[in-house]
Amino acid sequence: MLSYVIRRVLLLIPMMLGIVVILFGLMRLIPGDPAVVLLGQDATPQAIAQMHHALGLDRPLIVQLGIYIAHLAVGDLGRSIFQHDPVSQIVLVHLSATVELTVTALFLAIVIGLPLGIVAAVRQGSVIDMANMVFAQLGVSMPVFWLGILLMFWFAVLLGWLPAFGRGAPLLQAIAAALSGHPQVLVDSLRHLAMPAFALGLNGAAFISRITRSSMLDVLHEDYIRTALAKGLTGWKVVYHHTLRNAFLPIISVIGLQFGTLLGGAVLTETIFSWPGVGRLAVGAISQRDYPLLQGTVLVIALLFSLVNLAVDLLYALIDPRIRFD
Amino acid sequence: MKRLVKLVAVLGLIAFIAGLTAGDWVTPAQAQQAEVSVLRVGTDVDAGTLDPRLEQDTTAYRVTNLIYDGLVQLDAKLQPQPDLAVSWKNPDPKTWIFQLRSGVKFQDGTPVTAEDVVYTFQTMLDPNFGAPHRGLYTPIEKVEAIDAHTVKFTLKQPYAPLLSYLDLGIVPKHVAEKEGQNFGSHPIGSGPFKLVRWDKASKIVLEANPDFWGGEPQFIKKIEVDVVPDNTARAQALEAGDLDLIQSPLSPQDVKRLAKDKRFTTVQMTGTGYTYLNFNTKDPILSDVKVRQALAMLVDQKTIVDQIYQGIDKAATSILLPGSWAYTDTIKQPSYDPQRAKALLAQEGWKDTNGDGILDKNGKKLSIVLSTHSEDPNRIQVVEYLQNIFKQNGIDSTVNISDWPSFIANVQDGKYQIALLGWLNLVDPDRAMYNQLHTGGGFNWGGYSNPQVDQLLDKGRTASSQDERAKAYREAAKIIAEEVPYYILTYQGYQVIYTTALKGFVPNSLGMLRSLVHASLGGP
Repeated sequence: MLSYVIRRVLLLIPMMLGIVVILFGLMRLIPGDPAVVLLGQDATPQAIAQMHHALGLDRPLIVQLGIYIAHLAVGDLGRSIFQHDPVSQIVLVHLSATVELTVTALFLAIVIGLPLGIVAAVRQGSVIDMANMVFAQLGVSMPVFWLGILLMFWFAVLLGWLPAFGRGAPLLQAIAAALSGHPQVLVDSLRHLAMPAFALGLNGAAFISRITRSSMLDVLHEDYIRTALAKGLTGWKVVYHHTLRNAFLPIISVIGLQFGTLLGGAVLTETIFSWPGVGRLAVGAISQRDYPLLQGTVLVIALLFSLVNLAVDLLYALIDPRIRFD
Repeated sequence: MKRLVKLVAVLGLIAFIAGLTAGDWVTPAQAQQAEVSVLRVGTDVDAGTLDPRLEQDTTAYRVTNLIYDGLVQLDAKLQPQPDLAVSWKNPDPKTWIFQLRSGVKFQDGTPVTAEDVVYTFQTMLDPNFGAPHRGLYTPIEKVEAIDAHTVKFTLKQPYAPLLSYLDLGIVPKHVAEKEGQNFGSHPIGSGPFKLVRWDKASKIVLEANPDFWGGEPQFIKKIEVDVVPDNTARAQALEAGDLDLIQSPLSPQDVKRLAKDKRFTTVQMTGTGYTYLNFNTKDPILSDVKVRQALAMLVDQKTIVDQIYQGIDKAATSILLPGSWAYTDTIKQPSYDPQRAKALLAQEGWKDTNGDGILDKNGKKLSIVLSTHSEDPNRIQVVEYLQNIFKQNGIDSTVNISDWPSFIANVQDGKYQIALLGWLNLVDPDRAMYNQLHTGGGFNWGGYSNPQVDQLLDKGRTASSQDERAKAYREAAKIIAEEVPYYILTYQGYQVIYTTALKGFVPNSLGMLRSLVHASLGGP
């Protein structure tokens, strides 16, 4: 097990290197560069040339890449061309916001999606099942920017219950503050988190409920379930111990994938609710051709994505004792 | 189920590690206490930097205008008014001498001196410093301190628009030198508000400067600039009471809805920018002025303004902005007339000889590519609508839409036929025309060249009286309207919507918020 984990972690190094090289090449293949964006339309060709020199963009590509990798090797992600701050600092701040939103959204998705899926599978063809199917269809197909604006209209404009945008204190600090006698900090934090997390989590909930339902149905038709029921075990015991446990692998895969997708793909939610996350950061970096910032952001997201995948693979072994890693 | 708990625990751990890296918090109770004197302003993008020399986005302009003082401030009519400079002299066309206000202090307590002014402009002019707007200042040959409160600018040639650009924020030399690249995140100026907190991508918090030379702002003690990127979300946040003031860019339908809402004051005025079609006069087809005129006659300006811009931007008549002292309504661009357009094209030899419905000449089809950038949905609609009209009139037209950096890089390289884009912050006609349309001008991407226009633009730049300048610009604008290197589509509108509780705020078409110094947030 340990050697497996070490192998997987070591494999990350060439993978990250590959990502850097591909990203580096792609960004430079598309027309337009940071000098052009930085100087805007009011740029003379001389000014652009000077800016290229100042940014080191006039050196051969291979030299630029070499310098970047050399800095990367000592943990230096460089400085953002537009924000002038170190990339690592910018990415970390945004990452904490994204992880907080993603984890909360995923939590909501699991809490809503899993029970719905289980009930739908057990009561296949019932009204609950039908309602669940409708919910899943809606949840998967409803665009988040529309849902977001709608939620905001109801809960912020009409009812005035929740703040329309922004982030409160970081959740973990808010919890710490609540423990030290400032519960209002936590309340504020949660109120800010509620709408974006729900908007983001709904899609995941729909997805998870569908996968749970179909995966449960597969297992429910196995012979050993019939045997268990024949032995006289009660229905819910069978559902939990025999069915859910065996149906769990695909569900875990989907949850892991969802987590990864949400990490980098929450751009629309982040934009609608002004959540300062990495999705918006990456898109902004692309549209400004902020090479170091984009490279740093993508690297960190990719790293996190890979670690989550590794965690999911390890979870398989925990859940299903038949799976062994060596 | 136990497994699920474990999964959540793993995810929670990741969140915990990430959460440790974030900053400190303000309790809602603290925020509420001060609410009466806090003004919350919504903006579309975060400032890239708060160093006025490096700024580039509107948020940075508006915020640095509160943190720093310039030698001058531009008033609502864009006329320069004394700020750090109390007076100025222009002994000869190439010399300007500024007398600085005495007793002014930076927010760190050090006095503002002529050395700081010299340093600000010297760094601005240094090519290696990388100031985006350096080009506006390059006619300056040198800046010297005569004494602690007198600064002398020597120009390479007379440069009439100079004063309009001297609203550039003056930075403290000792701090900017020490901080280097970090100065933009830790700005120090001498303006009415100072930075107390900046959560990147989220909010900028400013506090009244008790030592401001004009007196500490009395009523508004704190300004919170909140980044809400989505236009509709920003409008809803104002309606929800989470913001007090929002400004362009806004969606036309939101402006219309909020204008009817009694809780808010809506002010709409002509801004300082125009949206235009740039014709590449080096293109084999478009080098013919008659063809450019014919294509301009196919621009259905009224429908575009009424339907796409919903009247928020106004139909333009020439390159001169309505708010400018040089404006005249007597200039006319070719008006929408497909019949005349076709006749004019036929006159130039563009006829459908092979009956395929597309005009041709010497065996070549009349093909036009219309380009714009993907960030502005209105502009995409405009080029698609134009493509439609062009096609109906026998022109083989295609649309090319790419993101801003790709688009502008191609345009700057002259790789386009007709491009739809805009110019902003045109505080002086020189800024709207000189580099754009002078032969060899820095932004003359379409290679337009007319010696008469060159002469008039030179005259506008060097003449000392405003009347003389206005006359030159009007003549130049008339020729430009006739020869169509630019077809000016709209004058961009500027809108600001704010709570009626805000009293004493004077909107300014550049979106500057300086008048908040004397404004108050009274009862409704």
